[in-house]
Amino acid sequence: MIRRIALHLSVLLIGVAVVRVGVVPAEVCPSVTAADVSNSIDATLGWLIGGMTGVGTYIYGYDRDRDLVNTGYNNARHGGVTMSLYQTFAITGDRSVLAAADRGLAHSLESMVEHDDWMAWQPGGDIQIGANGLLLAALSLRRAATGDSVHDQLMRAMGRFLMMQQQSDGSVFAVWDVSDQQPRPVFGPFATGEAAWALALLDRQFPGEGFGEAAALTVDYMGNDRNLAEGYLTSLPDHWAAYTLSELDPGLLTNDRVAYARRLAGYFGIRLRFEAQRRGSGVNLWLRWYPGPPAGVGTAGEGIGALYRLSLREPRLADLTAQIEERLVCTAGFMVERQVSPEEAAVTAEPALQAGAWFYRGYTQMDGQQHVLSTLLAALPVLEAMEEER
Amino acid sequence: MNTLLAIVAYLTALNPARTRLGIPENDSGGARMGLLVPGTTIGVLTLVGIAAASGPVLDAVEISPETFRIAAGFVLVIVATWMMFFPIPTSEPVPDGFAAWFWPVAYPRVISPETIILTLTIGASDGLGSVWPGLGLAAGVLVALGLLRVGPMTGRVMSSLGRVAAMILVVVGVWLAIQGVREV
Repeated sequence: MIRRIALHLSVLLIGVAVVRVGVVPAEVCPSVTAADVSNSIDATLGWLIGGMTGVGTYIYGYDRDRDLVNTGYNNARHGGVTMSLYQTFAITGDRSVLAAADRGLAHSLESMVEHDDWMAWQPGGDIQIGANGLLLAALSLRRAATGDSVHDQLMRAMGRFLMMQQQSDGSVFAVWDVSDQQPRPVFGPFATGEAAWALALLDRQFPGEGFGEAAALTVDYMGNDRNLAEGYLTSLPDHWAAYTLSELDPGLLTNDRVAYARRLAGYFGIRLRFEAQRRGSGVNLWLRWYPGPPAGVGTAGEGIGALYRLSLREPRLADLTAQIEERLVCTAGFMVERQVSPEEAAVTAEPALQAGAWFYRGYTQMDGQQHVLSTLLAALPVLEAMEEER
Repeated sequence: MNTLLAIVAYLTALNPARTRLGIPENDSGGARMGLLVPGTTIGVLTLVGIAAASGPVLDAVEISPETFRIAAGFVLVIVATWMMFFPIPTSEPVPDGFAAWFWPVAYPRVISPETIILTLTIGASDGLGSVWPGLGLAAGVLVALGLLRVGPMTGRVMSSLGRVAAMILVVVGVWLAIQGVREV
């Protein structure tokens, strides 16, 4: 009988070990303070702003294993980083960041085009909706943070451009074809959400001009029809959709849209829980692979950060606030830990290209810094509030 | 998980019809109630203790309750599949005397991998209030079935009922795993 009990217990222990290692490795959330996050933000600003060129562009990417700077560029990412810098100014009030963001903005404003009643950013070739959405988001965040109305006419004209690209079902064509002089019926995975968020932010600045309703129409498309229409097998965990929902006028938050926000919180939640399980070594490497690309982790983090703000003002999501807060703080903890600190960078060949960056398998890129920066900016007030409560 | 679903989960995880077939019997074919009642009671109390400790336990091993649901679903599906193919529990040696309430009644019939993991996940996510009704009802049904004399016909009926419960447990496991993925 003793042998039978021992056999049962052995099977039980082996089962526990298999489940622990293979199904639920520890979700490690390093403890983090507001000061840690603030220092981390400063370090990544050092990478983004310190690497800016005289014409207002940013360093695109850096491969530390080959000590090679990637000289390519991406305009949507330029708009995204500029937008994040305005987010930073809005949270920290640091005017040197505002000045840097304005330099990035000025670079974009050099290549605006005017057409009928709209304007758009056309840095070359066809006009990309994603880049324009992020640039307009940057302009709206700038106006909200500074009160400066100097770009109002441009913002409205860019809003009209995005609305022109929007179709009756809420979908947004991702390209304006310069040769055909009309929207090209193609979609981008993120351009739709970027346009919607820009319109929602624009509505905050210019309420009653129809921008919010247009954003809401695209939210409905993203929540209900996009997967089928654009051929996605699974729902796209779109952080721009989360941003859009967080900025929509309360009167536009229908039950269906709130339900979409709840689903998005679930997508980001599992993504971030999974990420917290990653160690990048030993058996865990084979089961969970390397800690995720910073842009990927950052998008989930900023998405859940946007939903955190929404859950605070939307009673139908209040039951999620505590869990969302937990994920956001956990993400801040492990991303601060994963960042190359100035001390670690000091002993490398290119400290300025490493300090404050997040690398994925030896490579870092501007959008990695951008998305994690936005995550940390979302986490900072949460941590400050938690520390005040103690 | 609401209380009704927790009841379904316990009725299928404890699976009284199948478990009854693994309880030591007296010569007349009825369960030895002197072992079944204390063994089930101790088993239930132990599981309640596990439920009470579930939050700190998951904290200690750094697993969020939401992620643990995925593990629970995974384990339940595997165990349920086993139950479907083996509708009668493996015969275990029964010690002489009163010790048999512990082996094989309390453990491994009542306290089993499936009831432990279910209790941990419901306890951590929904609290003791959601554990009691389902666990109590399933244990009550098990004790009630102990009064039944198991002959060839009733044995076949019970094993069939056990299989049906196992099929439902597969659904419960899949549902738990999906919930674990969808939750924040």
